[in-house]
Amino acid sequence: MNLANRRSPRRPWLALTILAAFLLAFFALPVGRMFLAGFSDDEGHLAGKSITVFLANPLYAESLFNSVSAALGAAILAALAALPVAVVLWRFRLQPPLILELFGFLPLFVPPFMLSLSLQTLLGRGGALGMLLQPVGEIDPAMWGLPGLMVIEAIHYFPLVLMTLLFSTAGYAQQAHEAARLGNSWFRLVTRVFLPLGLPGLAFGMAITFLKTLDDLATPLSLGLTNLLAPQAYFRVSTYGHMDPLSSLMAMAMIAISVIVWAISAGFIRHGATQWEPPHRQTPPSLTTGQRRLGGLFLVSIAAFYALCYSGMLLTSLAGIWSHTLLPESYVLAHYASALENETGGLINTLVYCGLAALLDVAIGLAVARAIDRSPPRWKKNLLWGAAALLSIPGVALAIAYLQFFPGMRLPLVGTPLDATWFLLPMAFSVRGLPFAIQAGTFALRSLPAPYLEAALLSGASRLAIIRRIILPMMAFGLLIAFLICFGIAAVDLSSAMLLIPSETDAPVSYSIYLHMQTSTGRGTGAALAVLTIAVVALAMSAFVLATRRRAPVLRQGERAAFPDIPG
Amino acid sequence: MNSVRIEADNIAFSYGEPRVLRDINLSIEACELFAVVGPSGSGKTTLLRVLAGLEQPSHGSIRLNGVDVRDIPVAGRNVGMVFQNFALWPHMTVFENIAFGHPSAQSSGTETVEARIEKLLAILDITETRAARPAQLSIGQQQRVALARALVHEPRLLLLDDPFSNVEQELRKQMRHDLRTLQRKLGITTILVTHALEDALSIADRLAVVVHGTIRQIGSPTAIYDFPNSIDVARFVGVENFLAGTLRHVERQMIEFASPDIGTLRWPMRDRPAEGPSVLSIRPHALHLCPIDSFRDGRYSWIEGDVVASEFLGEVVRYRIAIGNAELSVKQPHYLGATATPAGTQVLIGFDPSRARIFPAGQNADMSTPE
Amino acid sequence: MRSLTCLFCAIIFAWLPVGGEAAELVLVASSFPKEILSAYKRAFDEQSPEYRVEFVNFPATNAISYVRDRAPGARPDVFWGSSPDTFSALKRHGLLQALEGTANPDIPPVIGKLTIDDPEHAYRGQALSGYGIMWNQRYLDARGIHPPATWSDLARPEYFGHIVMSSASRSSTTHLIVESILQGAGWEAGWELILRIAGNCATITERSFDVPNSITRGRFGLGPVVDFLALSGKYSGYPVDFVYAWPSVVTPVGIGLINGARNPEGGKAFIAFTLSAAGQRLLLRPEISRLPVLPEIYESSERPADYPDLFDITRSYLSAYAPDVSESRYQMVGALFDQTATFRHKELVEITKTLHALEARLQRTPDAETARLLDKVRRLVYRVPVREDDELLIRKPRNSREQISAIAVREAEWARQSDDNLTTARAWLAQAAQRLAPDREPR
Repeated sequence: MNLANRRSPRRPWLALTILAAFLLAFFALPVGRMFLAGFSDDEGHLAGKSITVFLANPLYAESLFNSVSAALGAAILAALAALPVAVVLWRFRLQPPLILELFGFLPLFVPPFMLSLSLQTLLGRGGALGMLLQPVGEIDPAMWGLPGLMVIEAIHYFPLVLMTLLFSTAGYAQQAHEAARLGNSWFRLVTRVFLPLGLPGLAFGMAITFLKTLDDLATPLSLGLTNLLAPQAYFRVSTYGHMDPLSSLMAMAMIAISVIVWAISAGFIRHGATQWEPPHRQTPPSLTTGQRRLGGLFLVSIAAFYALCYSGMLLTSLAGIWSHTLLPESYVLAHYASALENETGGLINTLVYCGLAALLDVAIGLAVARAIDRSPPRWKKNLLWGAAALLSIPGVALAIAYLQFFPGMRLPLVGTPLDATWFLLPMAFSVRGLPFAIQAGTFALRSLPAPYLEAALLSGASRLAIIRRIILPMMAFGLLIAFLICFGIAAVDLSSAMLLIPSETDAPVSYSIYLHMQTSTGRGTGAALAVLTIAVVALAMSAFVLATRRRAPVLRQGERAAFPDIPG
Repeated sequence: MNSVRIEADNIAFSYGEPRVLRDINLSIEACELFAVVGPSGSGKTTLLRVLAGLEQPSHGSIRLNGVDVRDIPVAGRNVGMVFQNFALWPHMTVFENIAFGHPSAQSSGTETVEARIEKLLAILDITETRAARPAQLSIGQQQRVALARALVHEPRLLLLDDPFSNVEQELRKQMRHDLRTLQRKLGITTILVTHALEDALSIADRLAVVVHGTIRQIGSPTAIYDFPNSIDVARFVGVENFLAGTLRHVERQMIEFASPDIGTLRWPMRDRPAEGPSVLSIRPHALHLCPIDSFRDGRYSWIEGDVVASEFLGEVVRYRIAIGNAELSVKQPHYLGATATPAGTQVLIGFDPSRARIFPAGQNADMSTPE
Repeated sequence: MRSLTCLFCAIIFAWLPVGGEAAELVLVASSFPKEILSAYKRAFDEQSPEYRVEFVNFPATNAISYVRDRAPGARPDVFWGSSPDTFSALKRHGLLQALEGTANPDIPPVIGKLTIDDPEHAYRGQALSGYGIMWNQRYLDARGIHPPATWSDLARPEYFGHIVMSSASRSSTTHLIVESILQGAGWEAGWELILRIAGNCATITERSFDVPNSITRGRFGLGPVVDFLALSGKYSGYPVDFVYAWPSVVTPVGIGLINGARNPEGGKAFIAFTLSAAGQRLLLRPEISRLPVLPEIYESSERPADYPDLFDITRSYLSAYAPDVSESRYQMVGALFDQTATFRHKELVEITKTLHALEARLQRTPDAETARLLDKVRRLVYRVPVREDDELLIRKPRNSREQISAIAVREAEWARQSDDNLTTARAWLAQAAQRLAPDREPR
């Protein structure tokens, strides 16, 4: 298979220039400027004073330590929980249904603070379990301090870690079973086959958990935890404004930690895991009814655990008055009505600019994926890794960089200053979504292998006809998936939104939920909105599953053509 | 259809440092069926893509009927191409696949275009698949749809990128026969790229052997089969036995080949290769296997050896015979009821020197006998 | 690549309509909860179709940095909030413009001892806010605790672990309460009380709304809040109640037009609406429950029976409260609160718990030496690291990087100092515990 194809001399340069300009304006320059701001004084001379101050304050050392340990704790807890589950699924060759597999990615589309608020409702003194167990002890996660944060993030990201672990091992479950039948002990198989195979997936899942926990702002704040890097940076920016050099330093510390962690996990991942491909689904193994029932029970109990965790949210959304009683005194649907009535404007705004961010992401993701596809093999891996390294830019850090970089700049044509509009938000979202967009773009590109396009070019059809009748129909599915992924990621990116939003109505749904959930009367509305959001995500995923099933034959056709086994 | 004559001058192509193609000089006559063959990764597909205008050569020029192709845009070159996996658009019907890109066919379809497509479908015997999607077709039908799509624009040049790969033997024979018939009928200049020698030998007017990005030999199928000009080409066209030795001119028209494995042999040769270290090559079926005590016919040179192994291949039996430190591969026709000579048997191998080819040694680094 | 170009065009075009929409946008910055804002949005949008109001919601404590960080023309049009300090600061920074033609003549300029409007018309009083303590009756009943009456009650041991409070740097309500305690009790004594209350807190929340929220839910028992948040819970049917605690503070809720507004006319229209009878009546809604400044509203039939009376409340107003003092050290009081209470909350709670336990034991077995030790601990732990006349508190905060660095240096000193103090305090507490119960391990 040839790497390079359809070389037209002018257009790639245009695209590359636009791409470079985008990355420069919305990534490199703001972060670079923030770097300088952290190390310079008022006159712009390089000065290490802020570093000395940063290091002198035990609070910041503590925050640094807390941030790293919370993120590490969450990643390790999630891995410890996911490993045995994955081993059991592997051992009994249980394949979760596709829909459950997809729900493994739910953590990427639902912000973790929802879990935190839901658990506080359930376990706090005000009602349900927490009230019931009050005489025995305190189980409100907000009272646990740092471990509370770790547990919540671990529960939240557990499905993701489990899925990445399964993806990297599932393909070999059948062989392992055969090997076991031939007399190899399962212990040996797990330690010698499962663990080495699962390591890349595990490392990837843990890295995502670590990075997202490090970056999380809303969850620690909802738990009353302030002595972490993200909340400290947030507090400083909101108290002292964006001029504050210490917040730049904290943002940079977060970037540095993320980069180090990403580099370490990259060493483990090395190959494969970033491709985001589920293993080829083999024919389901013949299981006995008992095994199937056991497996079903196992999966159902995990699902039930999550349903229980989020039931606090559901109860709140349906509760009329619920104050210091086991269960709500009355149930109403008014919160849903109010959510739908008052939040539609916000929802539409959210759609508009999350959509914009996603569109931008898809376009850039495609362009970069194509560039990567066309580059020489030894560059390819580096480029892919470079793109994936963008994952390690925390939202808080990016938002602080934007706040320092953009004040005073005005929008062309309209003349409104950039930071007074929601313009920066989609830009931040799209930079944050890029690593995923590039993967999704690679996936979309794969559904249009080069010969299909070349055949169209040779047919003498006009460019427009080719785009309309060949490129779009063949890539539609991949593009849609890319769009949805980027959209979902933008919609939950609360860390940058909390710092960047110019007006509440422009906020993503998740921020509205965050605000609502903290008022006594709007609480139900916020919960209703959260339930609706989760429902929408779940619906979108189910629709995706249905679409995949329907398209399966066509996809297979494309896939076969994409990987010819005889190179020319 | 007016066919086209192609000339390629000194073409080179590279994606980066290692050159994929270099020093390509070709001249393909109008209406010719020209095959490009070579082992995997030799650059033959790239050559086809350069000729199609899908890649820009980094050096050299291509002329179609004397006009430099750089002056013609890709879509205007009027080139039809059949891709390796056919690249039929999965979301379109057969008819839409063929009609796509034809300006008048896009808007409801004028009679002439529609008629031409119908005619093509009829010629290719796929009229009934008209409304089907590619996924519903057999491989043979897919190939013909791809061919129809390539031909519907009445191209001046038809390019086929390994269209018979992944096709089973019987179907393959049928397909290449059909292709040849059609090409004759339409009288269109055609370039066929294939990694399978048999396809090229059976239908091509001429073929070029490409190895490591360069054309090693151009000629008619028989010329290339019988008189490969280098070890690489010889190996590609199925020569299995290569023996290292020293060549000496002895008297007029006579040469002497001395090898530590087979001793010294002499035979007459008109155009004598240069003296010095050389490689003698001979096809397995140009060797005769006889019992050790047979009468040694004077037309052959005789060597003694031991049977190491035998493989029954149906039409022939292939033996591996140890001679000194070398091994020779010998193919003997199989006769009804005959059993293979068992391993360990001492045998006599007779070979006809006129069917051996001598190449200067060092032409190819890899001297070992292929397995 | 064409698709990319198209996309960029689409982005640019998506922006164009912002300038030329039919209804002009009025942007109101406010620290109020969503219920108030959406009620006013709906009423105002209905009454004035030529305008469309949008809100920016953030703690009033961030108002100045928010407005000043934006260039004129990019700022919100109206600022609406409960904190007089914020208005005082906005006015001093020249971020407010004079209001003309928006006043409602039926609103008296002075109610009780309270001046409603700014004398220079930089902002107007739109409602009244009183501050006090809210509690959940069921929560207290379940634990047999009686509701408090004064701020200092909150420091008592029986409330330990049941109080919820927000940070003074994040919540203007908390800031105002903190400042009124500081002014009422004096700098040192005030801070001691504040830190003892903070030590009694179960948690310190990030948003001020979370205080009434967790009390209405019964997650925590009681906490300092602004009256309307408690009243709105009460009138919505929750088992909560509220008391205006001494030294109480009543402040006018301000509304003002921002200098550099994008749409000053629209801003004025919105201000006039909030002061009109229709706008004032909205305040009585159960989910809002604020005190209107228009006296006739109190006569209206919509007022709930036990709704607070305007003149009762203004009579108890602490006239000593000096907004200019508060404003001059606004940022620093917030920063001090964070450094001493928010960021050191875990340690503060731990020591407070031990102190309460030892005090209880001390009452059973009096011991002068132990009492002295505990006193020392209290003085050490509940001490603010800065004197009232410190230059940081007097100098008006400026936003230069130099200034922020200087503050950061001091913060680092405080943090180190407080770490040392906590270590010492723990040692003394251990001594005290040993004295009281030599046979038992100190907790």
